[in-house]
Amino acid sequence: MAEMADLSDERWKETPGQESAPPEGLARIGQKPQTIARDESSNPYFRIISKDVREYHFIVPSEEVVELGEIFSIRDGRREAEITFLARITDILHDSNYDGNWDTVIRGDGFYDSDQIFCRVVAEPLGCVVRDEGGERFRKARTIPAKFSPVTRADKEEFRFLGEVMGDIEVGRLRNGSRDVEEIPVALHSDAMDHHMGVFATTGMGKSNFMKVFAASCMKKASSKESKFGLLIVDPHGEYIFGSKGTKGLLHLDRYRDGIVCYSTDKRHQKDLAVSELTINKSEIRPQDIEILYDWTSAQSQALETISRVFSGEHWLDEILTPEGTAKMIAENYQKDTIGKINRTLKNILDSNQYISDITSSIPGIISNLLDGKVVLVDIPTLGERSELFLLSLLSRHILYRYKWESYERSRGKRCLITVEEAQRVLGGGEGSLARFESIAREGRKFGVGLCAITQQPKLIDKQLLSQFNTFVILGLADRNDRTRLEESAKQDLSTLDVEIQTLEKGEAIISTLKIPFPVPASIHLYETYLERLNREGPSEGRGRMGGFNPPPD
Amino acid sequence: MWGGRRRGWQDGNLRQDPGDYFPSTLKIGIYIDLQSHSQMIEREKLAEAARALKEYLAPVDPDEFEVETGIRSSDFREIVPRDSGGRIFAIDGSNVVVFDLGAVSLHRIRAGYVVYRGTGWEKTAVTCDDLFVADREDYSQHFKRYRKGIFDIEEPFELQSKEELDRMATFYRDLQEHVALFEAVLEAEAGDVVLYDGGFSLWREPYHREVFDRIFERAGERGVDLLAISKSSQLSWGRGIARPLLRSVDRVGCAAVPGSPWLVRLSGQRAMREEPWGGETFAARLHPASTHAFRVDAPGRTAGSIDEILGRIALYSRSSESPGYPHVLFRAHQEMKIPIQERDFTRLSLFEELRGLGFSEGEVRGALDYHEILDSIKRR
Repeated sequence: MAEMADLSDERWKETPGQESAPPEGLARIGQKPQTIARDESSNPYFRIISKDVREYHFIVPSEEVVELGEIFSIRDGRREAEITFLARITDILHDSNYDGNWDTVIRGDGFYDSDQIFCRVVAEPLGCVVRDEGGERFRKARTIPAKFSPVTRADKEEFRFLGEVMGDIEVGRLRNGSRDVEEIPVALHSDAMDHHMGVFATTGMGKSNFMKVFAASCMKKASSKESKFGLLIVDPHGEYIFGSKGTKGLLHLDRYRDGIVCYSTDKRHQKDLAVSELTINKSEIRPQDIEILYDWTSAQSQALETISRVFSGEHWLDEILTPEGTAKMIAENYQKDTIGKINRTLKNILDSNQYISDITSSIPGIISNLLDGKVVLVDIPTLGERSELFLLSLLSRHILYRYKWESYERSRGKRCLITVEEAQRVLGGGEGSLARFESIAREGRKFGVGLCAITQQPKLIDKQLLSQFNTFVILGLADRNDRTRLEESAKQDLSTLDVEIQTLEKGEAIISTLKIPFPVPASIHLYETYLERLNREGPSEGRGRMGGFNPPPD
Repeated sequence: MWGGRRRGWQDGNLRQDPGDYFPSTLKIGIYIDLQSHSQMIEREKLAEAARALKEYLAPVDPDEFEVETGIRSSDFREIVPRDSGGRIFAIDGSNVVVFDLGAVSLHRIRAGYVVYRGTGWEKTAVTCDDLFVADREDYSQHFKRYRKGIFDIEEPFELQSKEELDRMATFYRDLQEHVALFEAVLEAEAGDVVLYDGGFSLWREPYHREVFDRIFERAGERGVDLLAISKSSQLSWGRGIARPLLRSVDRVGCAAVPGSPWLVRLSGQRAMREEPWGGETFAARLHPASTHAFRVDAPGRTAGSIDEILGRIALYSRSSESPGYPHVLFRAHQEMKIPIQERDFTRLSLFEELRGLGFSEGEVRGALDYHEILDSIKRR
């Protein structure tokens, strides 16, 4: 609002040396009008005008552009300590000081009273930064700012405290509305990873990009031996290892290649010296791993359960396929047809999953590298969905067993995060769920095993299981039921962010996690840009630096 | 449809949308709060009232209108919106009852003016924001303070009839508006226009004449133009029934000067059945899209250049907030209005003061006019 000249009535001004005219009007009886003029002192904008501890309102001129999610700071000078409240915009409304629906019809030449017609901004308190003799600290706001406290767009100084509560796994920058706050990185806490993490977004909103950025930061930590957990990624689409459709992959991060170990079923990928062939030894497969692959009849399921009792542990797969093995099962009162169906299925599995070996196994190496805190990428672009689930279930069983054992022996290595793509397939609850993953979700934390569930449809994940997740990375969800499910399960209140989540653009996220006091708006790094930055951090050690042969990573 | 509505009530089904039961004309007309009222006016009575009103609002026969009022189509002149500089002031006031003891009542009175230059608001001056005790035994000194103190009127202010005494607070509010008008005239400079929300025909009443004369005189000395613009008018025409003159003038004017703002002089015409007041009275429509024409009173000085001055006013009667009405008056109305919340706050604050003086809540309640007690209990 432009400052205007002094508009007080000339009659109230005295001119020295000039004989003043006899007073007229109110001045004759010693009264003076109360005057409100157009100047800064009467500017009602950007001042707290209401409402309560849970919601602040202020108004801005109609022509001022403010955005959902923007964070504003409110200085309250009432107290001895300097307090700055922070609040995030959750709604913006057209409003005016005039009552009624007079402004619903476009008439006339335009609005004259720009000081009376404005936008009302609704903001939710995030907390307050208190500066006193003890320094600067952030805490939840238990009161409201004084009426008419000035409101300004928060700048990097106000966000400085956030830098102190951020974690060690960088994924992006703080986002204030549509603007990135370059100085404030957004980083997840390694310590929170065995409390499970969910990555939620509709197609094309940047899930894969986020995972690559996250994995790259984990590689960096692992490379410098600072990693606190190992990350297992089972990639059924073959997009993480070398990228796809013009994007880069994890192995393009030359600078920190020693932070990742890759296993692949794809012969082309195995040509890279850093990639080993994936193998699973027959002896590592249990009947319960087979059980999840198909819809079995009740008799067939019972027969699968019996196998462990009838055959000697490791060699059951070879034994059951012999005539003697079949006879042993029939002797357990199972029909010949039931055993025949199981045997045919087992033969198909062995024939179609070429990575199942009589001799070698990648599993010990995978677990060992996870315990070392490395990123382990299992690249299986050639496998179907059943095989992927079979492999994921098998690996998870071995990992959970090993981590339980490590916990029992009190020799636990670094914790572990298992990534599950399309997690609704295994965490749906009821029949749509896999007991193994449910078990990890419910009790994995005790043994240092966390799940990283990636899904487009959080509404299909069991509510109780989802409530075990302490880190939510939300990259835009159009479906209201998806958002509602997350709001119900999150550890922080996301209900006020509903519209913002709905309007997130590609690469923008809301991150709710432990140790960061409120859901943080973030702009996730574009992987290719982040890759360039990381590769510039030190001398490139080059792809294939490990030598002229393909060393067994185990 | 109608029967359906009744059945809905009898069934206790009060949540149904009343719009389901009414023809569209009734939906936009007298909309009675159906959700909360169990009785309503019978439809036949409403239809009868509508038939009676139709006579008053019927289309105007220009020939009959000319014969009855003396106003011809050629008397209407187009207003050409144009600005010749200067500011526009507007005066308004309001009055709410804060506390009614029957014989005595306490009022909150507010009056003042706003100032615009073009479309830009410059300032608001509140010349009175005060409490007034309307006591028929003790009021004249309140009037004297302003009439003598500001307008040099020696004659004591004494209301003559019971009706006038009942309207004492209105007289006081009028006086405060006149003080505001005088203040605006004193602040205004040559070339400025000062608008008054109301009519200058009050000049005919002895209580107001000297005050207005003083204001008109000072305005003339300072080269300030004055106009009074009335939102409502009691002027009428016709035989047998009193048809609203302004409504009829509006219809004839829109036909005579289509698509443009216009004015017509009413003073000197047969239409003006009231006594002359010392200035001239016009009717004007300030914007072609306006829904109303207004009565405009202009003292002699301003009446001489009414086309030019209304041209300025019409130019700034085009805001989206209030098209067809001088925006400055719209703003003055908004600024001087005492909202119900403010009245309630004043009232509660007063109760607190009384408690501080030792009165119990029961005593305060017992002193109130029983209408107030009844009105405070809302019907479900």
